[in-house]
Amino acid sequence: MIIFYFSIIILIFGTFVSFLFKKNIKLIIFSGFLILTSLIFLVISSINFINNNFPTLNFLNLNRLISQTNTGNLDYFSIFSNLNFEITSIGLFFIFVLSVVSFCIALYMPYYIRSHLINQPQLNFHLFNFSLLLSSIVLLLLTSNLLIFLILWEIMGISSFFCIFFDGQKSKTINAAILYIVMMHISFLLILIGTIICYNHVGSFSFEKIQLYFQQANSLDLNTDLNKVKLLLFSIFTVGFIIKLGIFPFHFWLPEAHPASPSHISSFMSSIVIKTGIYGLFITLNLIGLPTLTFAKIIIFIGLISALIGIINAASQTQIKKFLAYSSVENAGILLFLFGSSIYGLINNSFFLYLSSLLAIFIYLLNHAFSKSSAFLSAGVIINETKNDDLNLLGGLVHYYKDLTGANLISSISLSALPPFGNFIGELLILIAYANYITNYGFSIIPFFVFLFIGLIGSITLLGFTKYFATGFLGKFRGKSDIKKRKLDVFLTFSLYIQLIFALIFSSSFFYNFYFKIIKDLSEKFSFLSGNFILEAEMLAINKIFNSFYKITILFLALFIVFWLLYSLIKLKREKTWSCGFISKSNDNFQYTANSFVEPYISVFKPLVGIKVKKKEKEMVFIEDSYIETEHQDIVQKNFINPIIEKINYFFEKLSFIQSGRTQDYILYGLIFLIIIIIITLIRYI
Amino acid sequence: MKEFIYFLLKIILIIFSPPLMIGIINRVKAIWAGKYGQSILQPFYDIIKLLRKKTIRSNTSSFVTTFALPLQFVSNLIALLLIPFGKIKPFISFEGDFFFFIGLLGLSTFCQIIMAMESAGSFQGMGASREINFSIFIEPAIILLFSSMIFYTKSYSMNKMLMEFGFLSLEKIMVGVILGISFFLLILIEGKRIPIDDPATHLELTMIHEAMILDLSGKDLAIAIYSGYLRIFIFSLITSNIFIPTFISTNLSILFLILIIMFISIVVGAIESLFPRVRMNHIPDFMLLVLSLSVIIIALMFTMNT
Repeated sequence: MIIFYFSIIILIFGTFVSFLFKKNIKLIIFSGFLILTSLIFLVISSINFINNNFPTLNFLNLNRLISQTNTGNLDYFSIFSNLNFEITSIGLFFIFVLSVVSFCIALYMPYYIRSHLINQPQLNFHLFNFSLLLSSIVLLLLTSNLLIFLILWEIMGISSFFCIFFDGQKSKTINAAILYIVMMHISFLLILIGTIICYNHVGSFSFEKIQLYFQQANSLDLNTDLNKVKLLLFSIFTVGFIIKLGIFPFHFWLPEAHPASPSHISSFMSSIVIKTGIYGLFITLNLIGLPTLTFAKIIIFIGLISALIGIINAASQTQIKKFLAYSSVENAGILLFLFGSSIYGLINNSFFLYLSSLLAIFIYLLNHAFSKSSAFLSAGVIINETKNDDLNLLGGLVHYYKDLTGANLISSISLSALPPFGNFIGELLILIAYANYITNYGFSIIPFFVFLFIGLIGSITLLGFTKYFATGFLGKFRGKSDIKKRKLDVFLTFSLYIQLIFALIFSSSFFYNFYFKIIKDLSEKFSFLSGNFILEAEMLAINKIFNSFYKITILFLALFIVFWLLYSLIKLKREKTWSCGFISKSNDNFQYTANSFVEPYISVFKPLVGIKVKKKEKEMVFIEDSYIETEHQDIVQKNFINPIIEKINYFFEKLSFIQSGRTQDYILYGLIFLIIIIIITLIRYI
Repeated sequence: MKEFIYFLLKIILIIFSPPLMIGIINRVKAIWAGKYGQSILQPFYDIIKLLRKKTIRSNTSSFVTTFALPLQFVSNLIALLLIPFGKIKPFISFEGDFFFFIGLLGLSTFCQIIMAMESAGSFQGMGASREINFSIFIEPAIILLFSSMIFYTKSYSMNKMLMEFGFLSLEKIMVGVILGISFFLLILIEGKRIPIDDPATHLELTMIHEAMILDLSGKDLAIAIYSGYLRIFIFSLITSNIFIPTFISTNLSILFLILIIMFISIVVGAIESLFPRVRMNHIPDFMLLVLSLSVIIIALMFTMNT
C-alpha cells in the first residue's frame, strides 16, 4: 500500500519538477516520471497476481498496522487509518490495465503535445490535471470508504474535465467539456444521494460495515423495508455509474467529449475513466448485495440496447474519433450486459453463466482498453499529420505510414470482435454460457435476445471497422494537402504496438487462472455468497474449452503464418488499377468514400442514426455551385436533451428582467431581502 | 486403420469437393440450357491455370493484400475443419465452437473487404459496400439457427450439434425442415449464387462478389476463388449434415453425405437455370427471410416449452 502512496507522490513531485523547465524538457521529464509510476504499478499488480495475496499484504499494509497499534497516542496517524485504503483483487486488475495504458500514453504524449501550440502555464495546468486524474483513479480503486470514494470520484470528474480543455479556444471543445461536466455532476449527485441514504441506514461509510449491514437482508422476502432500501440504493447507484459508463440514454456526452479532447486524453478516458463505471457497479454489488431478477433482466436489456445503438451510430460516423467514441458506447453496453448476466446467472443458480460472464468482463475490458487506447492514439497521429479527421478526406495512409496501418489493422480486427482477440473471446464465453443455460433451463426470452443482439452487434461492428480501416488507410489519399511518407518515432510505434501485444497475451487461456483468482476473491467478498458453493467444476469446464480453443487458434495462426510467408515470396507486377479499362485522369478520385460505403445501411437504420443531409441543388440550366453536406447529431441529444435545455433557457430568459444593470435595482433587491429576513425572524419570535 | 482411412477421406473431400460442386452446378445449368456444357472438372483447370499465371496487382495495393488473402483462405479452411462429415468426427472440435465458426467467417469477410478496397477503384468499393451491408442480418440468423440445434441436442459443439440432430419426433421434423430451408438459403447467399448474385455476370453495376475480385489476377484470383468455393462447401456440408439420419452406420452416412451434396449442387444449378436474378434492392429481403425463419424456429421452441 505504501508503495502506491509513494508512487503517487513521485508522480505529483515529478509534475512539479517538470514545471521548472521549458516545453520539450518538461515533457520528457513528465513522461519519465509517468513511466516510472506506471512501471511501479505494473510490477506491484503483477507480483500480487502471481503470489495470489492481494488482500493481506501485511508488510505493506500500513493502515492495518496503524489501526492495530493505534492506542490514541498516534493521533495524527488515526486520520490515515480511518481512510481505509485497501488492496483488493479487482482494484489491482484495474490498476494493471491503467498502468499499461498510462505507460503507453507517457511514451506518446511528448509527440502529441510538441505539435500543438500551447503556452507554458496551460501546459503546466494540463500536466498537473493529468497526474491528478491518474492518482485519483488509483486511489479510487484502492479505497474502502464510501465518502472517500465519493470525493475521489469528484476529483476524477473535475480533473478529467480540465484535461479535455486542452484546446480551450475552440467553441466545440468548450461545449463538449461543459456537457461532460454537467453529466458527471448528475452522476455525482446520484451517487451522493445514494451515499447519504446508505449513511442514514448504516451509520458508517466504511465498506465493511455497509456490507455487514446489508447482509441481514439476505432473506427472500422482498417486502421487508431493508430489501426495499436495497433495491432503491441499487437503482440509484446503477444509474449514477451508468452515466459514467456511457450507456444508451446517457451516452451522448461521450461522442462529444472524446473528439474534443487531445488524443492521449481520449485514449485514457475511453480505456480507463469510463471503465470506473464498471468498477463502481462491482462495488455496488459488493456492498449492497444481489438485486432482484427483474432488475438483472433490465440491466441486460439496457446493456444490449445501448450496445446496438452505439454501434449503429458508430458505423454511420465519418469522423475518426467520433466513430471510436461510439464504438466505446457499444463496448460499454456489452460490459453492462455481461455484468447483468452475471447477476442473472447468480440469481438463477446458473454458476456457469455467473463465472463465464465475469471472466468475459475481465477479458473484454482488458482487450477493449488496450485496443481502443491504441486506436485512439493512432487517430491522434492521423489528425496531427494530415490535419484532418474526416474519413471522407483520408485514405491511402498505408502508403505513407506503414507502421500506423499495421497497428490499426490489428486493432480493427481486435475491436470488431474477430478471433483470436479478447473481444471475440468475451463474446464466445458469454454465448457458450447462454448455450449452456438453454440446455439446462430451456429457452426463455433473455437467451433469445442475447443471441439476436450479439449477432446483430457483431455484424454491424464488422461493417463499422471495415469502413474505418478500408476507407481510412487503404486505396489512395483523397485529400488535397500533401502528406509525406515518413517513419514514425520508435517510441510512438512501440506505444501503439505494445498494447496490442499485451491485449493478445493477457486474453489467452494461460492467464485465466489469474482471472479466476479475482473472481474467487470477489465471490468470497460478496455478502450474498457467504454460503459455500464451489466454482471448481465450472472453472475446469471453462479451462478445458479454452485449452482446446487455443490449440486450434495456434494451429490457425501457424497455418496462416506459413501461408503468409509462402505468399509473400510471389513475384508481383504492379500496374495501374484496372477499373474496367477506365483510363481518365480523374480515376484518382473514383474511390468509394466512407459515406457511400455505408449508404445502404444508413437507409435501413435511418431513425436511429441522427444524420441530416443538407443539399443545395438548383435547376441545372447552367452549371452552378451545388453542394451536399451531412451533419450528425445524436438522437437522444436532439430529441430529449436539446428541448430541455431550450426550456431552461426560455425560463431564465424570462427571469432576465431582474438583471437590469442599474445599481438602484440591485440596492432595492438587497433591501427587499433584508426586509424579508426581518419579517421571518419576527414571525419566529411571535 | 479405419481412423486413418476416414482421415484420408476427409482430406480428399475437403480438397476436391468444393470445385467439383461448382462443376456440377455449371454442368446442370448447361444441360438445362440445352448445351453440351463444360467438363465437371473445369473449375480445377481454371484454378490450375490461374495458379500458373503471372500475378499483377494494382499499384495502390500494399502489404495488406498479402496479409489478407492467406488469412481469408486459412480462416475459411479452419471453419471447414470444424464441421463433421456425416458420422465421421471433424478434425477439431470443442464446446462452443459454433461461435468460433461464425467468428472465422467474419474474419474472412473482413479480409475480403479490405482486399477489395485496396485497389482504390469504384467498382471494388461498390462490391465491398454491398457485400458487407447486405450481410448484416446473416450473423444473428446463423446464431439463432445454431441455438435451436443446441436446444434439441443439448450440446454446443458443432460436432455433436450436427451429428445428433435426427428427425425422430414431430417437432424435430418441423424444426429440421425449417433449418434445412434456411441453411439452403444460406448456401445461395454465402455462395453468391442466383438469385442473390450472379457469378457469371459481365455487367459490373450488378456485381457484388465479382466486383470485389475484379482487380485480382493470377495466384491472387485463384486463392480468392477457391475461398469462395470453400464458403459454398461449408454451408452445403452443414445442410447435408442436418438431413443425415442418426441411426445409420458411419460408412453409409458418408455415402448419404456425398449424395446429398450432389443433390444440393443439382438443385442450385436448377435454381440458377429457372429463376432470374432479383433486383438489387430486393436482396436484403433474402437475408431477412433467413432471419425470420430462424425467429420462427425459436417461436416454435417457445411453444414446445410450454
